[in-house]
Amino acid sequence: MLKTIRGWFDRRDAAQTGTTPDYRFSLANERTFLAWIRTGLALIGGGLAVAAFVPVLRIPGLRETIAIVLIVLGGAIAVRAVDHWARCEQAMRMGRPLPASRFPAVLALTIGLGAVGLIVVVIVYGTSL
Amino acid sequence: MADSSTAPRQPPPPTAPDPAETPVERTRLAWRRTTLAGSVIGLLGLRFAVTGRPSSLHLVTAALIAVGWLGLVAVAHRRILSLNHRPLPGVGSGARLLSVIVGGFAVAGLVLVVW
Repeated sequence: MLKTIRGWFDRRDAAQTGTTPDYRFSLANERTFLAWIRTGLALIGGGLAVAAFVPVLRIPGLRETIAIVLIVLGGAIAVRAVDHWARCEQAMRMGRPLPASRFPAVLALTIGLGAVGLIVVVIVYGTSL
Repeated sequence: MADSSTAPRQPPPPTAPDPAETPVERTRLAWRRTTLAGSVIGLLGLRFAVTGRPSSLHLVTAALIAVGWLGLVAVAHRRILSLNHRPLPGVGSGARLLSVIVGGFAVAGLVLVVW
């Protein structure tokens, strides 16, 4: 058990395959990963803020649903971030092109649709929400 | 008698410019920004957990958020220190740990909202 926990802090990379890429590319990959983490954190914070500061809405459970969706999305982004970081690092080591990803487009569409949905709800129900 | 403390200070000898400085500095700043964002979210979660008459579940969740925040600070600090080493070590387990911690924040947020 202690060995497992110590393994989490192990500095040596788990998969030392291929050739070590230029440190600037690795650092850029790391910064991209951190940017995704901050995106996930922002969505989690948004969900918490909705749950904490939005008054109870007329549609039962709507406030909680919005909060849950945002939080789940944020958590998913955080998990996906490390997977993408690892796959990019691996691709750089093996000299392969970086893995293509639909995730940014999917995320942008989801947030855009969510915003449109909220606008519709606000217009339909007005300020009586 | 010559007193070294009154002798004029010599400027430090010029060191060769470190070519890794700019991307390393940017990475260091990115970790600091991430720590800041994580602290804000941690505080938001803590505040949510302890307002009103918090249930014991909320109190336990609040404690776990605090532990997660400490982990975040520890991971970031460790990585920022390692950025001073040459040759540059990789981020290694820090990235996975950070994802686990933020995922943990999400789980904590869900628990706080649902229960």
